[in-house]
Amino acid sequence: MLKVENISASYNKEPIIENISFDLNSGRLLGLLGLNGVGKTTLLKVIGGLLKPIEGKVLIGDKDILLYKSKERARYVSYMPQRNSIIYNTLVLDVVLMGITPYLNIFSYPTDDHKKKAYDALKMVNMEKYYSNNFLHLSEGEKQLILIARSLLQNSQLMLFDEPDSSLDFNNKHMILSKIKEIIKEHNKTGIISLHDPNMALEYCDNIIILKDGKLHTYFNTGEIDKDYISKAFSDIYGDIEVVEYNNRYFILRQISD
Amino acid sequence: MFLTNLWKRGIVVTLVIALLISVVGCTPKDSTTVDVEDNQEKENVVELAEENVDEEPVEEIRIVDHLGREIVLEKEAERLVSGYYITSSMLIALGLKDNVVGIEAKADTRPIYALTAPELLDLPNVGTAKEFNLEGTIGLEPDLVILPIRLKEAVESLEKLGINVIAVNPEDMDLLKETLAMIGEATGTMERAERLIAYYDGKTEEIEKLVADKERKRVYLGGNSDFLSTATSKMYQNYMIETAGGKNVAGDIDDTYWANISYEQLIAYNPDIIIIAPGASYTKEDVLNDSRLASINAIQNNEVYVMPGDVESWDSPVPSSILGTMWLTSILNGEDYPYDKFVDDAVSFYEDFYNITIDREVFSR
Amino acid sequence: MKEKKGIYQFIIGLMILGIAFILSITVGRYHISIEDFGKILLGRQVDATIKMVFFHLRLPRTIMVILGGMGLGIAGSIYQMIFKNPLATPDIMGVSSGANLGAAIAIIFFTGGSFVLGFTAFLGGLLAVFTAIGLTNLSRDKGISSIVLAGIVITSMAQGIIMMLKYFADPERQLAAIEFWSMGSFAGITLDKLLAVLPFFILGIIILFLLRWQINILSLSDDEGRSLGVNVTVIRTFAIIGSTLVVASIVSVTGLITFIGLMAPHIGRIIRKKNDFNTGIFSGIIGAIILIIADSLARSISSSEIPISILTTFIGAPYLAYLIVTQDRRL
Repeated sequence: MLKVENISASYNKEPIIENISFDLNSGRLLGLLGLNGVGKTTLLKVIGGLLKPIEGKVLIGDKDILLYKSKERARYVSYMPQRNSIIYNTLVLDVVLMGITPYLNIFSYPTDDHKKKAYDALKMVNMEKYYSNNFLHLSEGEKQLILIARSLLQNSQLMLFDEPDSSLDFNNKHMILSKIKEIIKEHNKTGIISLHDPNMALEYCDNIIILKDGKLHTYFNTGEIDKDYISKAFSDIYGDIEVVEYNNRYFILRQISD
Repeated sequence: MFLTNLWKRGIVVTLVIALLISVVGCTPKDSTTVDVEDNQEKENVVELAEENVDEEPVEEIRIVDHLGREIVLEKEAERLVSGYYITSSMLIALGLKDNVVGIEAKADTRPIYALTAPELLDLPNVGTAKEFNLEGTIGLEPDLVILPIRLKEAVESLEKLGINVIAVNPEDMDLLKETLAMIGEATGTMERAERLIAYYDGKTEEIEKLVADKERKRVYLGGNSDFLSTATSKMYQNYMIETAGGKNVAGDIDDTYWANISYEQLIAYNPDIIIIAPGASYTKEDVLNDSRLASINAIQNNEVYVMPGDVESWDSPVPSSILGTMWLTSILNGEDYPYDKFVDDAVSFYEDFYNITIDREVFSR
Repeated sequence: MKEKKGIYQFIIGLMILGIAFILSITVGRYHISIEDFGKILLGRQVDATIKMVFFHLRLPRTIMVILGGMGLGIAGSIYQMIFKNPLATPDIMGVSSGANLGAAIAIIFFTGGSFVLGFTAFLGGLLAVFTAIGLTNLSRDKGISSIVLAGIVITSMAQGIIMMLKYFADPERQLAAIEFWSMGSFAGITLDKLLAVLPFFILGIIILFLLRWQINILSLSDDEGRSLGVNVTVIRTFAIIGSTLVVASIVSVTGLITFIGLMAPHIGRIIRKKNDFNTGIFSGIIGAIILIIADSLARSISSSEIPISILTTFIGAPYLAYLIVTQDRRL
C-alpha cells in the first residue's frame, strides 16, 4: 500500500534523513524509533506530503504523493502532529469536524450530516459525551483522543502519528496506543507512529524501523524476531541494554553499571 | 500638537528665508535707500541712538519678556536673529531688515518676505522649534535673539552662553502690541513701533464704534486644513470676528485650537456668513457646490468669502493682522466700511510700514 | 442545548445593537424632533433640511459606524485566527500605516478634497498589504514569521515616509490634517462616501464569508492545516486580501480607528467560549456596538467632534480589563 523509495530530505543544506526505503501493507502499524533529532518527524512529514524530499518518492497505491492535489492527498494521508496547535476556545465537536475539510468544496461549510459523522467519530474513541466541551479544558490524553477522532473523520488510508504519547502519563500512553492499534486493525488502515519508548513500540507495533544518523538502521516485523535480534538491533542506538522476556513479550532494560 | 505645529511653522519660514536670500543676493541697495528716505524719522532715531551709545554708554535698556525674564542690554541691539515668523515680519515693519542676520526655517512659505525683504531669504536659518539650531545661532554672533516662548529650552541655553534673548508670545492683540513695544525698545525703533501700535489702537477703536449698534451677523470660519475644522473661543480668529462685529457660531467651543465639527453641527449653526481661512486646501466653489450645505443661509445668499493670504495670513497675529479685522469688517458691515475703502487702507498700510506698493488686485473677497 | 445558547447570544447582541442604532440615530447636533422622525419613518413630507440631514448625513453616518465596527471586529478576529496570536490586529500587515501614508500624500500633494483623500488612503492600505504579501512570497518559508516580518518592514517604511512628510508639512494646515486623520472620525461621513466604499467592503466580506471554513483551519499550525488538505498559503493570502478590503474601505473614509480590531474578537470569544466564523461575526456585532456608543458620544459631548479613537480606547479598554480579571483567561 505504502512504498517509500530512496527518500532524502532536509530543511536547509544538511540532509536530515538519507536514502530511506521501505514498504508497508494495510492493517499494519509501523513504529519509528530513534534518538532525538534523528529525523523521525522529518520522515513523517515527507510521507505525509508536507515536506518535499530532495530525492526519492513516496507512493501511495502506486501514485506519487506529491502528484495529488492537497485536498486529494488529505483523503489518503492524515497527520497528527506532536503538539496540537489549538490556542482558542473551540468546541470538541468543532475540532473533530475539521477532519471533514478534505471532503469540502473550498467555499462550503460542514453540514449537519458532517456533524453527525463527527459525533460518530467521537463515539469511536469513547469521547462523545464531551462533544460540547471546550477543547482547551480537556486533559492531554483526552485531547489526543479528540485528534484521533479527527483523523478518523478524515478517513484516510494512511494515518501518521508523531509521538502521540509524548506528554501523557503511564495510563494514558497505553490507552492511546491501544486505541490507535485498535483503529488500525478494525478499519484495516496503515499506520505509522513515531515513538521514544522502544517497549511501547515492541508492544503495540507490527513493524519497527530504527533510524540512526538519518539512515534506516533496521526494519523488522515484531512477530518474526527473537531476543538476540532485538538486543543487537537496539544496542546500536541505545548502548548498554538488556532484553528480558516475560509472558512471550520482550522488554528492553537499561544495564546499570555498578 | 499645537506647539508642534507652531514649531514646524517656524522651520518652514526659516528654510524659505534661507533659500530666498541665497537667490537674491545683495541687490536691494536701492530699496534700502528708499526706505531711509521714506522714513526720515526712523533714520534720525537710529542716528541718535548711535550717538547716545558713543557718548553715554551707561544708559542700559531693560526689558521684561513674556517669560517674565528681565533682559538688560548695554546698547541697542544691531545684529538680530528672529526665530519666529511673527517677529521676523515685525522686524521688517520696524525697518530693521538690514539688521537681521538669521531667521526661522521655511521662510519661503510666507510671501511677505519675498515681497518686502527678499534678502532675508538668503540668511542662514536658525532651524525650527523642534530642532532649533543653537550652534548656528551662536555662530551668527547676534546682539539679540527673538524667540517664541515655546522655545524656552533654547532661550535658557542661549542665556547661559551669554547671548541676549527675548521670548515673546504674540498670541492676541494685546500681546502683539507688547511684543512690538519690546522689540522697539530693544532695537531703538520705539517711535516706529509706537506708530504701528497707534495704528492698531486707532483702527480698533474706529471699528468698535462702527459696529457698536449693528446687528451681529453669525459667522462660520472654515479652517485651512478642512472646511469642518473651525476657530474656537480662545483663538485669535474668534477675537477678529467679534471685533469686526460678527458672532463666531463656534464661539461656544471653549478651546485654544481648531475644533473639528460635523456637517450636522454646521447646519444647526446655520451661519449668515462663511469665511474661509487664507491658504485653505479647498475652494469657495467646493463649499458653494456642496449639496449637503445647501440649506445654510450663507450658501443660499452666496455669502462665502475667502480671506486673502497672498501677502500675509491675517488670521494669525502677524503685524499686519489688523487688516484681517478690517477686511472682516468690510464683509460684515460693508455699508459703513465699504470694501474699496478697505483696499485703500490696506494698500496704504503696506506702503507706510513695509515700504511696498501692493497691487489692489492682490486683495479679494 | 449549546446551539440554542449561541443563538440567544446572537439575538441579545443584535437587540443591543438595534437599540444603540435607534438611540444613535436620534442623537446629533442638528435637532430632529420625535414628530419629524415619525414623519420620516412613515414617509410623510418633512422639511427639506431635516430630510437632507437625516438621509445624507445622520443615517449614512450611523450605517458607516455599524459597518466600521463590524468590519474591524470581523477582520480582527480573522487576523487573530490566521496569525494564531490573540494580539494580532489588521494593522500587522500594514493596512493602517499604508492608508495613513496615502492620506498624508493626498493632504500634502493633492487638493482634491475628501474623495481624493479617501481614494489614496484606500490605495495606500491595499498597496502596503500587497507589498507585504509579495515580500512574504519572496521569502523561503512563506510562513507566519515571514508574514509578520514583512508586515513590520512595510509598516516601518510607511511610518518613516509619514514622518518625513510630516516634517516637511505645513504645520498649520497639513500637519494638523494628518494628525486629525490618524485619530479617526465619522464627522465627515456622507451618503456619497458610504456608497463609494460599500462595494469594496461587501466584496471583502464576501471573500471572507466564502472562505469561512478554510479560514477556521488556518488557526491551526501550517502543517496541521496542510495535512487537512488546505492550501494554507493561498487561503491565507485571500483571507488577508478580504480583510484588507474591509479595513481599507473603512479607514479610508474614517481615518484610523484603534482598539476595535483587537478588543471586539476578545470579547466575542470570551462570551461565546468558542472560536469559529460565527464567533467572528459575533465579534463584528460587538465591534459595532462599541463603535456606535463611541460615535454617539463623539458627536454629542460637545459642539466639536471628539476623535473616535480616543473614545474607543476609553470604552473598550476597561471592559476588556474587567473580562480578563473576572473570566476564564484562556482566549
